[in-house]
Amino acid sequence: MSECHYLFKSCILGAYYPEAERCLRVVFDRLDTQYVDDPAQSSCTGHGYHSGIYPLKTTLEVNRRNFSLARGKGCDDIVTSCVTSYATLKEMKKLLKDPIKIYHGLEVLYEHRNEILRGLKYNLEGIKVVTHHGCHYTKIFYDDVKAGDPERPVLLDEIATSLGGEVLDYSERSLCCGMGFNHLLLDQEYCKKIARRKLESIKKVNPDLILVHCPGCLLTLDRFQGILKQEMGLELQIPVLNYTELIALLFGVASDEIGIKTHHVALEGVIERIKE
Amino acid sequence: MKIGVFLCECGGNIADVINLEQIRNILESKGFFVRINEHLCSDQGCKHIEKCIREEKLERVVLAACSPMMHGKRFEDTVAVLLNPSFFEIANIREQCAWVHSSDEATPKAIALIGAKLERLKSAVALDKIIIKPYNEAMVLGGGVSGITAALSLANHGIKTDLIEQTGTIGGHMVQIGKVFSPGEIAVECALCSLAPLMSDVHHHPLIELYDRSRLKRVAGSRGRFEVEIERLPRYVTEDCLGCGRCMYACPVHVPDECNLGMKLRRAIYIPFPQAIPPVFEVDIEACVGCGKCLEACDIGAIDLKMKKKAIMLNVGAIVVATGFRRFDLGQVKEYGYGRFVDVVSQMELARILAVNGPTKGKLLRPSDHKPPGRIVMIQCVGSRDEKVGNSYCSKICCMVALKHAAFIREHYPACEIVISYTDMRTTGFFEDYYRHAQNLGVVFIRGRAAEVVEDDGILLVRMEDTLSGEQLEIESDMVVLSEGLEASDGTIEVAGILGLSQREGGFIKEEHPKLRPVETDKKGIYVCGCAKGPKDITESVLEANTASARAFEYITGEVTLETGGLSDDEFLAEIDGHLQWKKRGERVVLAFLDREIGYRCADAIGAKRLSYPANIRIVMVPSIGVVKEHHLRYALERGVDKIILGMHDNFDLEVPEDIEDRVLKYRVYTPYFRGLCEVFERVV
Repeated sequence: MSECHYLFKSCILGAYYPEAERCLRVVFDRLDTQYVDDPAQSSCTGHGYHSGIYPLKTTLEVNRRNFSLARGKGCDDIVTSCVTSYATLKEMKKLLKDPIKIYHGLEVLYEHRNEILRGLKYNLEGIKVVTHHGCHYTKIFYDDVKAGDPERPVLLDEIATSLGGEVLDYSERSLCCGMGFNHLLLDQEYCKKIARRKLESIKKVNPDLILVHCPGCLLTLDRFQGILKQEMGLELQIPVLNYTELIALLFGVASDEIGIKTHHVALEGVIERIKE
Repeated sequence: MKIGVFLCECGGNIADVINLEQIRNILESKGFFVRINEHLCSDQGCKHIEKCIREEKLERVVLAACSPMMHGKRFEDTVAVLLNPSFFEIANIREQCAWVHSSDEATPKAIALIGAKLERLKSAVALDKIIIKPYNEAMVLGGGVSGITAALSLANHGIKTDLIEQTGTIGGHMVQIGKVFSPGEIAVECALCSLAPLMSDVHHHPLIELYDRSRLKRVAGSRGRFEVEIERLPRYVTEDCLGCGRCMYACPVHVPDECNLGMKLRRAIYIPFPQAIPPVFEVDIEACVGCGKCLEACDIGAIDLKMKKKAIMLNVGAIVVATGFRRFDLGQVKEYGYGRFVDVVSQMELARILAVNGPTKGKLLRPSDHKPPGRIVMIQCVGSRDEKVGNSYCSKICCMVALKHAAFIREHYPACEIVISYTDMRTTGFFEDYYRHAQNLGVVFIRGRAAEVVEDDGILLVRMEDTLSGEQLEIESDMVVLSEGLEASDGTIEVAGILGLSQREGGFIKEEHPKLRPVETDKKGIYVCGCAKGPKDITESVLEANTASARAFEYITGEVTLETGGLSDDEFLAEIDGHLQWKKRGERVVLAFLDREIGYRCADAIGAKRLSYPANIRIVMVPSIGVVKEHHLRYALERGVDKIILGMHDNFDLEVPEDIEDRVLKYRVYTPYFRGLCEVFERVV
């Protein structure tokens, strides 16, 4: 990894959970990790690309520009906060035969996990966690999965364990969160069905929180809990946290600043338990 | 040094295209003895050569004629009457000159080809044929059923045989399997009942020396004269041991028992199983706490904890490799949860559970709560036919293993349902009877590879798609059995490395020819059998072991001729120089290094079909493309060769350094595809 990362912001995270997006910068600052926050960066177009709306050529050209912006800022690598950006940039890099390196933010934090431990104000002791890895991280460039196996990634698990948490297994661990790019646009009922299956299986092991590293998974697992309650009376109430929010929180960043108000499922309870 | 050159007209095949008179004049002016003959290969032609060598006292001879593949042997025999064959070379001016070039190109090229051979002969050293008698002793590596069979067969033919086994007992995987299937038989047999008598034969055979706890360290020599170093680890118990077992009962240490795959415990002083050969206890020195209780318990003082490892030198004429397989590491397939869920087991673990000498004394009980399972799902092809884990091959035995266990359970535990999730059921030949037998017993077969095994409320769920109906299934099961694939054992990979044997996918040892020389390796005098060569069942392993021992017997009792006709570095470099000697200013010379058996024949075929390619392609025959090294390439390029073509095949590869990469072309030669080689010749120039 290079000395200075080109920070690649996520459109979904920025739109729905802006503070979670900001938290990556907060964590990097605390870790003294250099990054460039470039207002000229454009979306990777991954959402449109994977939904089949944007043609490949558009995505290629947009990201050719992004790569050149990163290089212009003196960065040899791009660090994305989103797994769809991660996979889209990697794919475009491959097609363009561009030498730039692409990492997901969690991978950078994984590299710095020992330094993170030194800066902790709180830890996850006594907290039961389930993890969910985004499909665009594990299933597209599966050989690059940083920890574990593409069929059973443990990147989030190892982070959660190192922070002191207990990671629980659940039967639908490898199931999609339910977002499914095309389905979200065409058949939301199907998305709901999958999210329900996923969440119900998580509920069975009764964790304190769901830890994710993908904006789409965060959005789906968090917001569908409200829809499932409204439509079917399903009581789930499992807090969902993005990795950036969790680490910022453990560093002592105030609840408001990690954006708990943007979450559908209340985080206050679990935050209180963490701070105990 | 008097050198003679014989130019063959080959009827008109050569003389119509190449101006032999001109060549004669040039060579004579340089002091060579030159003769032109209409048919050198005729009786008269050969007699003429012989006469000239004798009368003119020629010391070196170049024949410019057809390909050495045509009459090379005949010419060599002719010359060998008077000269050492090392002092004789053939310049191929027919297939690789007259037949592929026009008149004006062919004559200068023929001169260059002859010139290269003349240059080479100046560096030639006389080599004599050596006939040796192999050592009258054989070595078998690996004491599984293949190794046992090969050793017994060799010894029964009167050959002293060393059997090398790395563990404390012979028997191999067959001992663990418990029950074995046979083609055309529905009943399963007891593995140990078939194997134990053979193991006992090994123990008592006067011509078999068993080296247990031993490994191959290094090998010197070759071809019938192998000098082998074996490292033998100590057992810490002498052969005086009577096998009474008092030491074992006295030992306070309990460790997992390998023979039962860790499902049972054993002591630090132990015998792997009661029928083990040699029937001597051994000490697991890493587990031993050195308390000395066993020493007190042994009445005859057979325990010696100070025993040292030994290096043993053995001279053998032939080696049979029977180093077998290892079971695929199921933990690699994360989605099936092996290692996470205790009731997900391997077929071998199920075999131990069903074995009367196993952890449950043969009762079908699942590991987690020791209750009989109500439904077992077997998942086939785990670690076989799976490119994701790097094993694309079929492990051949797993279908029958699953059927054997499924049928056995249905017969003895009819309350237990069996579901087999399969890719394809491969029950070839008479094994088909067994497939039908299992179907009649009510085993449920579902086609499709299981997607994952998960645990929900303490119940194992196997998720899969029935690919015949398209239905998605979630099968509740009490126990899941994974049919693990077979991989080359660590011993097989290690031995292949030490002996320098070619390997195929997965590290299995490759035979010299799959049909005609199926147990020969690419090293003379070394044979391979059983699962060291690839996955197979016991029947096939025994067949191969007998074949390998027969071939080893032939080899040891025969004579080995060490052939001449190799290529020394000096000769090789001299031939390269020779090609450049006649190079005109501005002329480009491309050397094609082609091996004798494939590349060179392929080039001859271009001539036989009268295709053509540029005359600045010069073919240099090498005994094997493996002899061409980087310094040869540099030598040629530095002295003015424009480009080099390497005719690759087999497992040989040469890493071409970046700085000369653009001047060296590696091309895979293939005898029938001579047009491809011809196109390369054209393209390069």
